[in-house]
Amino acid sequence: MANMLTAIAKGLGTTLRVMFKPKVTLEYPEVKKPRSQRFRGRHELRIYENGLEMCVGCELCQVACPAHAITVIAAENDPNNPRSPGERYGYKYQVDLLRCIFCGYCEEACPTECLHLTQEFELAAFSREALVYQKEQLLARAPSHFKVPENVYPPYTGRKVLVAE
Amino acid sequence: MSQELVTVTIDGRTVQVPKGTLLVEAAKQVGIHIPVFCYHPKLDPAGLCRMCLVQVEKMPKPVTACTTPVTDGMVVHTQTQLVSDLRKGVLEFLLLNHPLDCPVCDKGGECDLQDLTFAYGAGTSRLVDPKEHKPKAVDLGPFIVLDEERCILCRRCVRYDHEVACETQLVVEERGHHNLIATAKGQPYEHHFTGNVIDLCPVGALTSELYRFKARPWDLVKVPAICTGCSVGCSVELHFRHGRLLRVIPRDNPATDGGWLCDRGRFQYQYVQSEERLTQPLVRRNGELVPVSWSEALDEVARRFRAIREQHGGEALGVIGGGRLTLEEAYLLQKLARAALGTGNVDHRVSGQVVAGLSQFPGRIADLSEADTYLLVDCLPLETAPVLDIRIRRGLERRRARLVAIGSVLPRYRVRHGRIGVRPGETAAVLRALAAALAGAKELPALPAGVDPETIRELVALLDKGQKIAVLWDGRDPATGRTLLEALRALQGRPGSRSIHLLIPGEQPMSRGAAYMGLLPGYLPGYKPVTLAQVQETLRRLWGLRQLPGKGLDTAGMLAAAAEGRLKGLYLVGANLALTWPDGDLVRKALAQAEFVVVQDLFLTETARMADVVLPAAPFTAKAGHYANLDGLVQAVAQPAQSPGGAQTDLAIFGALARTLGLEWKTGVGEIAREWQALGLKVAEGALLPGAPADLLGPAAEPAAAGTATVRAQDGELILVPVDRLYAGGGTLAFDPGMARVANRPEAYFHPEDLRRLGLAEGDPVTLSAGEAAVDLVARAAAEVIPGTVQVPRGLPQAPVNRFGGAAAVRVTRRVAEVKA
Repeated sequence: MANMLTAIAKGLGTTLRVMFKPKVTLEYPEVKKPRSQRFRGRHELRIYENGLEMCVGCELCQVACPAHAITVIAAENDPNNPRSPGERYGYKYQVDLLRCIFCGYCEEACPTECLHLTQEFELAAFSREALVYQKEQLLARAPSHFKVPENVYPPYTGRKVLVAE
Repeated sequence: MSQELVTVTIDGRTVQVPKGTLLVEAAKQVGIHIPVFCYHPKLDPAGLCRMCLVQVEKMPKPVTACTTPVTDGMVVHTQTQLVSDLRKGVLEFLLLNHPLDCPVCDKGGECDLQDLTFAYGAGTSRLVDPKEHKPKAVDLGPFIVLDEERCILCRRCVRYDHEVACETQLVVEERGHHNLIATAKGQPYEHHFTGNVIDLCPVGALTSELYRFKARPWDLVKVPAICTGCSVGCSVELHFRHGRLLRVIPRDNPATDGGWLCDRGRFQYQYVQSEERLTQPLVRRNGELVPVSWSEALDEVARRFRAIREQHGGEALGVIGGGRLTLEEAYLLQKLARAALGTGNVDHRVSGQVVAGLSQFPGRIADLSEADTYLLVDCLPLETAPVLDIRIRRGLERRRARLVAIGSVLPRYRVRHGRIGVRPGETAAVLRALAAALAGAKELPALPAGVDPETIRELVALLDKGQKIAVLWDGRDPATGRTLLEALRALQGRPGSRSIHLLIPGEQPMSRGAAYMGLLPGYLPGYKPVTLAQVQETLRRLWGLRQLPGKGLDTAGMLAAAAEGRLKGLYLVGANLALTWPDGDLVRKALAQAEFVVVQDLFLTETARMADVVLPAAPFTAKAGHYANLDGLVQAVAQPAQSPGGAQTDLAIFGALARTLGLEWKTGVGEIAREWQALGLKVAEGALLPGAPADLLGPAAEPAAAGTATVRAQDGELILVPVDRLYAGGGTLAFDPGMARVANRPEAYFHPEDLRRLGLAEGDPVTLSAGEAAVDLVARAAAEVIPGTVQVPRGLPQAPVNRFGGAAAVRVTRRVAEVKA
């Protein structure tokens, strides 16, 4: 009998002790666990300060990807309505998040610092197709602080004709 | 280069090379790579970029390996600190004004500058000043985009243009840092070989307009193949991405292309994935072509052909196979005609060309690079088989070879050469006189007006001097062919030794192989006459037949018989007769009169629109098998890609049709090879097919009948001469979006004198008419047109010159300019 009472008291003691300790449980999804600064989540394509896409469609991310998760198809900019600085832009950009292993090689390969992996990790969906992210889903909503580098991409003014002197 | 060997030591490795070998080439032989930009094995050394500097013992300063021939006992060092510093320095200079837009540049990934900078360059740039800015994305020509900033001024393109293409269009303008690649007079860069500068460019300055930003080199699936654009059969590499053909580049094959491609071969590939390609069989129902399933279409074909055969016999059927078939397909098609349809009416000739290769005086393409005398008879190699012309041009300019052109169409060359211009049909008369003169006759036969007997004597003297004579003929007029052979035999019989090489660059890419495979009336595979009892026996056994059909009709005969209602059923494979056959009216009449016409093609061509059943065929990218080119060389190709959509290869369609006809044929490539073996035909990679027997040219006609002008022009009339143009034609060219920019416009070419006499100016709209036929064109002046004639490209869909039925006297009238609403 006495044994039983001791056990109860011990148990309640633990409860009492834990009650005054800091909480471990998070109210997910309202509250999210802090992630490391170098956390590698969903991909994002940055845009320059002036609103142009930073992606030039060079496909280096595609070739760096060990899981073959990325597909890029480039196209020529319309000089009247350029999507990116320079002549070339990423016309199609797909990331198959089901294949992606979040290794971050693509981010490392990107020569324009456009592609980066965000903190976002809630990547569940009801179909496979929905997890193949298209360019529209990957483009950043807000401009970044990056400026169009000088001397690299002169403004593309369209094709020139060879003029007779 | 003499065969004397010299010994040279490079980085401690000793090698013996022929005297005169360049240091950079000698190094390659011992596996030492000397970096280069301006040097290219097929161009003259220039020593411009200084990247190849190496140290040679006993020489005070570093020397350029690309311009230094090795000498005996030379000791070379390529791995010293000095050489390494030099390379670093050269690269620093080259990169001073080179933009760092590799991620954007099409060359990125296969760029010499990128690779060599990675291997030998400094890691960072010391440049703090802004870079020199030059024009970017300049349209240099119809297919080439030039980026002046990326250019490192190696001048490979300019040198190629002068040395290989033998044109003088590309130049370097301005001075120093401001150097620019440009064209002389600022004209667009346009000739038939412009695309090669893209391959030559070591950086991304010259890029392809069609491939622009389409892919990266590492994306591409690279498949070796044979170009099926013309009869040269250049070795190419097809580059696919996501199953789409994005680029065609050459593979160096000394027997055919020599490393260069013509622009049509290089840039005409988009038709393969054209939206307009047929993907479903079509059957005419109530006057409309409606899509049906394969089995339905094949049942219809088999049923109708069988009905015609039962009712009118096999002679009422005709089979015409065009020039795009592989050897396997050509063999199977004639087998289908002879064994399954029971008809001897088989032919492959759809353009009026009679032969594509003769067994007499066989020539090889490589002979053109060694010949010292060229004789061109009615032939424009630049337009029918362009890559041949590169060899001829180089022969004329580099080896001082002599060239004489005879005919109603004359080529244009930069250097001095002989030209004997005649009216259509008169070429044979000139050759007859030449043959007589070569045979030693004192009195020459009658010559056409304007040709001096003295000219013929001069030609004889010129041919006498030749050691290696290359003869090119268009293979059209049988009388010309017979007299040409006569003249060549007379030349062979003259004192002195010489070799004569006859080449027939035909209009159809694969006619040489088709002829050998028996797609000819009266000839079974291997040019065996149909009357030969022994072959008949073998074939009867092999094909399980009781009776082999005899000699049938040729294309002209079939069309005439169909127009008269004797021929009921026609099976046209890859043959756009309505556009290519010299007599267009006859074709239209024949197709309208025939009860049942089956057309097998890639597109709904002019001919296919008149068919009762249209079977969609797959392009060359889906075919495996063997091809034979104009000198008879057999080249094997593995299937480069799957064909999207419902189109089938010609081989598969023939097989399926045979099975629908109730035959248990095995029609794989391997089974056909076994049949060839049983027939004693040697067909394998690298084999040479024999030429056609000369009796294809028909019996010798009366001398009076041969060699007279076929048409006489009245006052105010000109004689119309249909000419070959590289970018004219229906079929694949008309349906290729990339070719639209260069496709020949409907133009008529006049001699400037004639143009003036008619009171016309360059660019005037004119109508050519003869009887009921009339064609609207735009007048252009061309100095190479023979006075009294007017040239119009063959096979233009907008202005089909075959409405006149070959050469004709036409009246030229100026059209009143149409008023635009």
